[in-house]
Amino acid sequence: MKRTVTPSLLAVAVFLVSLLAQKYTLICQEYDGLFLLTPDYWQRAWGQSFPISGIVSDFLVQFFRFSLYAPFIVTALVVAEFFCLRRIFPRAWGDVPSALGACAYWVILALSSSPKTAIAILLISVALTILFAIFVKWKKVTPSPSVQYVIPSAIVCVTLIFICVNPHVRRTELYSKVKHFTLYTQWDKVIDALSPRVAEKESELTPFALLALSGSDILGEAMFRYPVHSEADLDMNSVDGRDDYYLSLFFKAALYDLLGCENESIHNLFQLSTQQEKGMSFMVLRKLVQEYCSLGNYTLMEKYCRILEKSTLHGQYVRHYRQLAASGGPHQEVDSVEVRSQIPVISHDPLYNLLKLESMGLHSKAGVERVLATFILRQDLPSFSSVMGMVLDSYDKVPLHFQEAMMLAGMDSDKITKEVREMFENFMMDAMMSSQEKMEQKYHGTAFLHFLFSERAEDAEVSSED
Amino acid sequence: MPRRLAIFYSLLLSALATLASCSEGGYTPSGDYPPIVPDYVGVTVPEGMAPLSFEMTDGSRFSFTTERVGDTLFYHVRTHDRKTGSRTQYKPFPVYISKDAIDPYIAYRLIEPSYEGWKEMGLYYRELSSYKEKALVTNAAIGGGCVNCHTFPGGDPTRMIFHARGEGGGTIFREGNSFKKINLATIGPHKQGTYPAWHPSGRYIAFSSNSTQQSFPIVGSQQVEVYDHFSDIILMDLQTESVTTHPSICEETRMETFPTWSPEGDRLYFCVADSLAGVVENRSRVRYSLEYIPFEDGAFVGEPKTFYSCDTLSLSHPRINGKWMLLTGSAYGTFPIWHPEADLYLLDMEDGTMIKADLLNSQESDSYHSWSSNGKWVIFSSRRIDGRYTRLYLSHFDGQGHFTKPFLLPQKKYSHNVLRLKSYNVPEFITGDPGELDKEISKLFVK
Repeated sequence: MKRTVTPSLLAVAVFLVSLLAQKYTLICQEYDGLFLLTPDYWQRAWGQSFPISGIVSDFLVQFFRFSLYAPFIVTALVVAEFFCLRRIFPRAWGDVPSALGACAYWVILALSSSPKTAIAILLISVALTILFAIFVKWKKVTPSPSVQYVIPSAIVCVTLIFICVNPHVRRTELYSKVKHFTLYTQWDKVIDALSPRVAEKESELTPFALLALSGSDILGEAMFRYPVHSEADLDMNSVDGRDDYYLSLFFKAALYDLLGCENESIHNLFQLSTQQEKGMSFMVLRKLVQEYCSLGNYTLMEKYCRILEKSTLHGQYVRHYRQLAASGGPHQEVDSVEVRSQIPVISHDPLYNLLKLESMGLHSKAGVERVLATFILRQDLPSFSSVMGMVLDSYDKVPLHFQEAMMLAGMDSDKITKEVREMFENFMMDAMMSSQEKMEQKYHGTAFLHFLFSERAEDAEVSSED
Repeated sequence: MPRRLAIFYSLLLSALATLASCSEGGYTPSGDYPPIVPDYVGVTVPEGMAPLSFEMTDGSRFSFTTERVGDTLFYHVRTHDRKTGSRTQYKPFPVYISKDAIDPYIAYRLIEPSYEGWKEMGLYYRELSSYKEKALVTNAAIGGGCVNCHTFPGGDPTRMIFHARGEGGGTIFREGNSFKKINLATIGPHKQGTYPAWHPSGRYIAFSSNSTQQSFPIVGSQQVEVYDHFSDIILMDLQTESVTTHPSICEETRMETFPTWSPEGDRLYFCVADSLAGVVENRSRVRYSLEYIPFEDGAFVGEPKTFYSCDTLSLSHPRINGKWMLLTGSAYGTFPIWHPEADLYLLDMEDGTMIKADLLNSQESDSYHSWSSNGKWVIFSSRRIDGRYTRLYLSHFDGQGHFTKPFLLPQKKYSHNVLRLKSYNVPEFITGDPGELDKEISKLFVK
């Protein structure tokens, strides 16, 4: 009975941590994973370092797609390691060494981006266990309760706390959560996960918060609640080639998907796949199926469906999209040379892209609001006024920050509320008399403050040249 | 007892006969060829080619047997639809076997048809009599950069060049077991090499030097456009390891690209277009024509002359086989692989007439092509399967301007073409096994 205390406690602890503190981390491992019964996959898999652990890891990770499977698998791995170690170490030592080893193993698993290393360790442990079982016979002694379960339980509890409070684990979980909800366009959950306070700490995620606001059509209402300083916070355009390149590609794929520009979304998905360990992933394959289905390119959709069919768990997914294709819209036509040669191309300027999307008929409320937000962030009030003038009639209620910018731009409209007018008047008076600190306190979360203290890009260039 | 036994055996025999007649007669004969993918019906293949593998277009189960009659191999295909229970015996389809030999290997690059980036890419070679594919050089050997533009003079597997891009990159030269890396941009006119053309003497290599960029149309069926900002032609003398050029093929106002030598080596043919400002916006106006410049005693002489020009076609990648030149023609631009209208054209260099090689072409892009060393076969890339992933097709050429219906490079299973996530790029015939070179090449990149 006493011998079951430590493994039971360990199993419960690992399961709960995996389920509650690492749920999205594990799901996202599946997103970046790949396991296919295709010749190219196997050729690549056997060519990697530690191929067996790599293949086993890829096989197991595919089950992480379902949030309950992942904790079970992680628990099974850690408990298996525990039992291997228990067999290796002398019984007189109780469960202390095996608990220590299993907890170290758990930490490795929790901090790794895939179970590959952990599986390699487990395979070695299994081999050692077999050798010990054959060649080493430990004396059967009954260890004291302290080494049997008291100290091991303490080790398990300390490890549990260590993993739960570990900044890397928490940060990875936050990023994974944002990634997961962005992928499924669950914008309200992205906003829940990324409060302005969280975004203050994790500034790299601010664009995702603003994307979620766009997705919820409240960008113009709430963007300045977040720490927004420049266009880079809106479009994540300035990180190309840096460490967070992967994140920016993921962001752009989601952004252009939201804006209805499948071509650019696919472009970024392909780029994203080249940043992944295997050069392709389940997430990218599934997104390609979706995007090509939405484009009406059922030939390519079918290609990726056939590839996904070579995995273990995508049968239902593939059937769903095949049904959609069968009952879906018309097939995408190949454009004529004349049409094709006149289509504008994506540039490195997100504003240009947004305007071109509009000009090509890809109209969306999110697109218009991002154009207006970009002009505000650029402090380009004439352009803001010009676009706002065109879309003003479409609003029953103009979003708060757009009203504020209208006041700054000197636009008059009965769609500007009394409160905003009063706040603007107060702001103008306070701007002359109050300190920056006071202004920041009083007008935090308004567009007014952005105009008062943020440096315009052009001004910054001039001053740097000086 | 014997009588009972006789009755038993006669019953058993009649039951077996009934079963046999069911399985024979259960198939409904069809007067049509089987609907298979890829379309191998009536193709011509070289003797000793790896067996052709195919699927039914509707994915139904099938079996086949082959029967050789003279130089024709007949495929007898039977299908069995489990849902409806219907069984069909199709009209046997012929595959013609040519006695004209084909080079035993081909080399190509495998790369994601993604866009700007890649993860793993490499130059691979494939034995045509089997399905064996091996890595010639992968980008793992050069630190993850790009490997491209491989070429073998006359298909000689012991001599080759290719470019290795990225940090510490350069052009890699192979002479037997000796390997050398030269950064062309650091010598002569300081231009890096792009598309190579090996002089028939083996001493010179003409390169185009291109500044190539990609852009991504916002909407529409074309997802990538590739164009040059400028391009010139340079010449490398392998004996002196020097790089030179000639003012008339290195002009700022023109873009010269895709060099290819005449069989005698006395002319260099190339494609040329006027440089344009705002090339992306004006891309439909960029049309390449074909010119040549005489070559004597290791140098270009005189001025380039127009060899073929057409108002409606932009020409790329000329490759000569005797009096025939095979080119890719597209509506505009220099990168036909992203142009579905791109097709192969055959130019009679003696009388200057050009015809569309209709039998080779498809609705999707048909592009990069190479002749076998005896000029009897051509290999080219086509996106006809799905419009995105390039696959390789081979066709027989009779030397009189006629091709046979092309066939998809056979794989062990046809599904490999669908499941493979990489495109085939720059197919070249080679006359022998070049070996796997990662180890040797990586030595050139040791820091």
